[in-house]
Amino acid sequence: MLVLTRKLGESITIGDEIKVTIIEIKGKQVKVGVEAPQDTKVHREEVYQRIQEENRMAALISPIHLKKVGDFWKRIKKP
Amino acid sequence: MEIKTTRFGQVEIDETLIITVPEGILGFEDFTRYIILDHLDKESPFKWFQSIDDPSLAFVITDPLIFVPTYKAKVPKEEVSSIDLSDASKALIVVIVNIKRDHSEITVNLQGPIVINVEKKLAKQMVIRGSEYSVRHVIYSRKQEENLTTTPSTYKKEVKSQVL
Repeated sequence: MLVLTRKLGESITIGDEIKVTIIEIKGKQVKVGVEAPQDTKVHREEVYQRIQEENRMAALISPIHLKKVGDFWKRIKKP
Repeated sequence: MEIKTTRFGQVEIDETLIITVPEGILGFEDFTRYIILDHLDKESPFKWFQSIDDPSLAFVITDPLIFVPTYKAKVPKEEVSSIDLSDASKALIVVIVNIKRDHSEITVNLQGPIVINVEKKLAKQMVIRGSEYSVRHVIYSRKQEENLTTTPSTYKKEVKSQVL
């Protein structure tokens, strides 16, 4: 991994079209601005990972689980 | 055509209803063709998003607006270029449902909705920016249902505050 040290307000560029700027440093948090072409996906890694994990869990559900859920749903709807 | 599924056995499907997810569902990028199957009856708010390519792969999906009427997934143009969606009104937005193994809680993933271009049968799992919506938004919890038997009004209040 390439490690660079930057000061507040300074940037790094990646390729010709991507620019990352340090916008704010507050305690342990760093606010980073990303300028990139419209079709470049920019995500905080943890969001991606959380959704992947959630999908993996969701893929394990069986109709039996869902049947129970369906019953719950009916009970809530028509108490 | 007939497809194989581990949950429902052989299922006869209408090929024209196959939905292609060019980028796949996050974590399952290798599988790109799905079909929506009813769960038991058409009245159920839940449906199955069944993979055509992998018989064992299926997700439970639902219409988020049933549970969160204020839900609004902002769909940036660049996010949906791969599904050719120019008119947002042609989009159907569904969310993936998760159920705790002990059935004590049901959640929906509001941060990673699936946007479907109904006309072209193309779909994509989007990632909503910001922290407004949770990947695990609770739509049912047994704890609350137990409260229901003792204090119904409290339960309703709790549900409402959660939804809004």
